[in-house]
Amino acid sequence: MPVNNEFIDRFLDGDASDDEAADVVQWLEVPANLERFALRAELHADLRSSLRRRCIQVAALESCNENEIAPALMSSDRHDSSGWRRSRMTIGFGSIALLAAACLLIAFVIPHEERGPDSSQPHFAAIVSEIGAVLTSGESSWDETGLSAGEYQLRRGLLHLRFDDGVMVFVEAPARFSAESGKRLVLYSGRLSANVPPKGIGFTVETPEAEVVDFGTEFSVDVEVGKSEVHVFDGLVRVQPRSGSGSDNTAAVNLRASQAVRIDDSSPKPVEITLAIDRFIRNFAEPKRKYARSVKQLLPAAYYRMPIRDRGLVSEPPQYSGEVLTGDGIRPPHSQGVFAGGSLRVKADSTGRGGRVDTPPPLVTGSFTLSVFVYLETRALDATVVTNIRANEGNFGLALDEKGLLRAKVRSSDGELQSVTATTLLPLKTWRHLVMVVDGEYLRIYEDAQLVASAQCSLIANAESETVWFGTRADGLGLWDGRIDELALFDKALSEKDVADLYQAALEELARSE
Amino acid sequence: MDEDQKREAFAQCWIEADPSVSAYVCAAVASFHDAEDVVQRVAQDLARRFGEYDSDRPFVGWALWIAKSRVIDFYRSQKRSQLVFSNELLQRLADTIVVHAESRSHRREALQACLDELPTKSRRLLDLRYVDELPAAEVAREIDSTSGSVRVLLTRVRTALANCIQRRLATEPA
Repeated sequence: MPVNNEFIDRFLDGDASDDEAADVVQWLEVPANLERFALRAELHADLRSSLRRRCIQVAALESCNENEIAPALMSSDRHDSSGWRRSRMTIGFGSIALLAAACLLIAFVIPHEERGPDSSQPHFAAIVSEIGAVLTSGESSWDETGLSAGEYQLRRGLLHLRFDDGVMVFVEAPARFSAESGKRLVLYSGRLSANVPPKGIGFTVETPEAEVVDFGTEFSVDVEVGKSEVHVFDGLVRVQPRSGSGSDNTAAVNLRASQAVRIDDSSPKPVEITLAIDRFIRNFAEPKRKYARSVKQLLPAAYYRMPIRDRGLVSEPPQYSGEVLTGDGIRPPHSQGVFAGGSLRVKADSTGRGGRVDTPPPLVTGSFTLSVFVYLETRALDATVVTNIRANEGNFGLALDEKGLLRAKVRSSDGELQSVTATTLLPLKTWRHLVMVVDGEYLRIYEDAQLVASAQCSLIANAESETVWFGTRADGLGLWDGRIDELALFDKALSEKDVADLYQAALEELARSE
Repeated sequence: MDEDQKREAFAQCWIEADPSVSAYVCAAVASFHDAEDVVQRVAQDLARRFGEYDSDRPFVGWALWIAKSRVIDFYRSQKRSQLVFSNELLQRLADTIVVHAESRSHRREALQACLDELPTKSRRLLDLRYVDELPAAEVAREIDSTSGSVRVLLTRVRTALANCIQRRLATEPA
């Protein structure tokens, strides 16, 4: 069959049969054919991005139109877009610029008052769920099922809000914010993430330094004194900075997926910064995806996925669940996990002091495996990932030693403690997959599926019911400084291939969740 | 170069390379959603590894080199018998796209103008396919046609656009 445009399109659309695809691959051996194919693929990709962008813009314009944007602005945009011929950098954003200007007009026309919410007023947002949240308005606790117009402080915990048209907002303490309407939120300080479906286009987060107008996307905002950051994980947002006086506006920027900017008092121009993938809690749910399935197929004795829950440290199976330990601190004892979902946060500005499980699974075969993801904030020394060793009890532990090196420790069946230490430091502010395995011959540590330490080791002692501590030792010292996630305990030794397969599954999961 | 300058440099590089990477991944990965995932993964990798980039060489070449690895990762993750491009073919495809990269911005500009000239029916067809992401069979249901006809119509519209782009580029002053 000759390879023509229809054939190429079918292949690019994924509609070609295996035989047809084989024909295309054969046909691509000729350089001229490969050129033609590459141009056609480019057309497909460009059509998709152009048409989706246009659709988003139209929807956004319609959304603003509902807010009674001046008709003159709308007509001037239509006229403008009909005959444009501009540089690649500005194509498609003319209408967005007008839209943002229009939305800003609305923002400044609506009088802004400092006011407390009135519980008798209708709710602008529903409280979908809260995790250990302490929400106040003024000095009073706010216990309603939704947010009325007014200012709030989230003093502790996490809040999941639903605004108009299914816009989901996740707020992390400490935060101060106002609900202005079902489509508008002012964040004075703190962090939030928003997930905006197409119907919610136009949802706006205002900060002291900027206004963030959404065009159907997932983004996060972080506000500190004199500084706002906007991070876009999907879609498109428009960031309109303000000058220091808060009255004049400087040039707006459009942010697409994987882009982030910082706006501060000192400079009117947003500064491009690195996307903070790991900073924001973007969902409370744990995804049911491949990595978890891969772990479960290996039949762990207990699996702690670290979901963001207020009822503690959840295990599968549930009888091995424990509790999250808290103390002084600012942020919640949870954070963004290695994949979508949560993780256990220990120290790192948080109230988290680790976790404990008083009814752990029995470990009685003499072989053992621990699989866990860790994220280290600072160059910590003497920092525990997990252990059940206390005085003469317990049989395993994984921690950073006094030099900051990763050390696995086990109690052998004759009661002696044996350990092995890696020679390199864990990197900071990045997730690492750690596995320690004891198989009766060796004690090994793997970091991202690479063997980093190994020593001869006999079978380990039994541990029937010794308390397991996450992120802390039993004496409350040796705290981890960062996050712990997807922790699985196995009463058996996993093979090197099992470890590699788990890591591969994690990579695939990461590729999907980022 | 301080951190802020590096970030700015990366952002600029990525804006320029994004269409080439998208075209490359679109050619090698059939599903829209899978292709999007792969492109995002490439962007993340490029940002993380920007320090390794040799600025004496074209960024798009380096970006496509990373993209090739991510496409191969994707193939491996599929674990099914679908036909995929060989390592050698992926490399030749990347080389071809690098060559085309220089004139890409002109083609994209031309495409915008050509889209504005399309008849309403053709635009609706494209929107159903690319914006609503409907497969041919569902597009056919929407417009009361058959999936075979939809595929033929889509090919005609795309070919008309490709010809329009060529015409515009040919008449553009050098």
